[in-house]
Amino acid sequence: MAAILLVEDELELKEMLKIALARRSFTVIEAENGREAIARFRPGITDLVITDLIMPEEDGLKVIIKLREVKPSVRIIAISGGGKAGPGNYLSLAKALGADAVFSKPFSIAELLKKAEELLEIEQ
Amino acid sequence: MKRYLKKSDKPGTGKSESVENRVYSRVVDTSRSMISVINRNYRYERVNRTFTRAHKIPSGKIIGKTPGDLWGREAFERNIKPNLDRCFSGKTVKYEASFDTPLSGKRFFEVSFRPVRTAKGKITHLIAETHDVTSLRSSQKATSELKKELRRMELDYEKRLLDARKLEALGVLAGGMAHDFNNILATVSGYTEMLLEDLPEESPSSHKARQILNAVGRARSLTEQILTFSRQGKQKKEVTSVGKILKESIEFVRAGTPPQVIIRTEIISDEVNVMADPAQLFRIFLNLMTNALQAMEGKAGTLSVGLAVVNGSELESELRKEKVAPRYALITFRDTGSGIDRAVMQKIFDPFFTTREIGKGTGLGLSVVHGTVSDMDGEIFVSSRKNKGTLFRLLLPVVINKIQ
Repeated sequence: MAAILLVEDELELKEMLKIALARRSFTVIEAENGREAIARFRPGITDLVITDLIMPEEDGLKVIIKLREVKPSVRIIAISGGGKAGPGNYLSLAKALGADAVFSKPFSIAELLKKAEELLEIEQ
Repeated sequence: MKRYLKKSDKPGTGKSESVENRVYSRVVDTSRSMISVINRNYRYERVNRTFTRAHKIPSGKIIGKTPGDLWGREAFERNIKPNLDRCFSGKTVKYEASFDTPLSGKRFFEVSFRPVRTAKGKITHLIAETHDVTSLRSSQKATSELKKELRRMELDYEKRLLDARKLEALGVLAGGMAHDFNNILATVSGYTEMLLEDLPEESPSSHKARQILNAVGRARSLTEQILTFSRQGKQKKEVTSVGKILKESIEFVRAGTPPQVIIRTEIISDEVNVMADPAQLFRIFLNLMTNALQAMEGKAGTLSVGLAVVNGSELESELRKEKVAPRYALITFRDTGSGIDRAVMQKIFDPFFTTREIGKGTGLGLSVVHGTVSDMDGEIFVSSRKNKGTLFRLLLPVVINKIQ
């Protein structure tokens, strides 16, 4: 059972991503911010984290660092909307800090799902 | 030759008195003010040389007359006599007047009347002094004009500072909005992709869903422009061939160019490199060419695109910078379109300024172009003639290809 931790503060967007993941039979654990993400992370069953970068209460970069500490082998996809700091900066930073892939909104869902499946197959 | 002077009222001792008189007479005569002595019958008893010169009347013809004879009955009764009387009553009187003098036209004067008393304190005469303050007045006027000008410049500077701050705030706001916008776009495109999966392929519904995705793509490129504007310059720059990007953008534009418009190119050198983000450079060229085509909409015309290299030394006066690069790539876009009005010219690089109707452009283009060019340490100049056409000149510092 592949569980994905989905971290996104924009609720409508989170809902859409959850539906898209569920259609592919993934189990989705949701979190609205970094603090919840760290609290709900279950190392035993979570193999992939999809997280937004800019959020209130512990932003995405901190999430990536903390979760890597807890489970070094977890796969992480970072997504960002740009704007406040510029996707260029945040995303390259995310990669440097341990995200396995980065996507800039609005991205293609098909590509995100493809990457998610790719990262999870490598895991297995 | 001995000189005999008139005996003064005061009894004198002879020789020393005449010397004293002579010296003081000289003092009075060489004063630049008009000085006269007037008695209680309002008659001139003495006038100095400056007085006679200013009036162009010899003293012989003034002495014994009244100011009324010189300035006219009315002026005398109304303005002069009351002041003379005040002086004779013991006060020092000062006032300002302007006269038309025969010698030098309209002048401004400070007039003063000072009483002269006998040893017993009786006022027998007054000394009238008229002091020309025309130069003082005009220099005071000049100073106050300068102060006004300075104040205007200060206000202008403050306004520009405020505008710059507003622009910065706008940039931050735009950035924030673009971020939220991208979130919404992601939601729209995500659901639409799912719809496409659910709908039968090649059906009318799936076609519509595809159109939604196309629109999202266009919206995305718009938010990128907004972000470029708000972020200005944190893009990744690399050594970029201007000629290559220019040619690519021309090819792109050519596809959408109507047949009656000719595109001419004068690319002098292919090997001109600048430090830039190739995608941004492409967008700048595209923007300027699209504007040129729109200026020639509906009629025949020519768009001339040029690329040359210029020495920095030749541009020093034009580039208002401290640091001028040794060489610049000069990229020119010239159209034969409707031209830009002088009034509009001031504002074309302002964000959200547009001369187009609602729905036909956001007005972000040129402000983004300007911001991007500045960030590349370049400059952009525009010149235009109504109904003749417009010329945009882009200057970007040349870098040596690191391979060389």
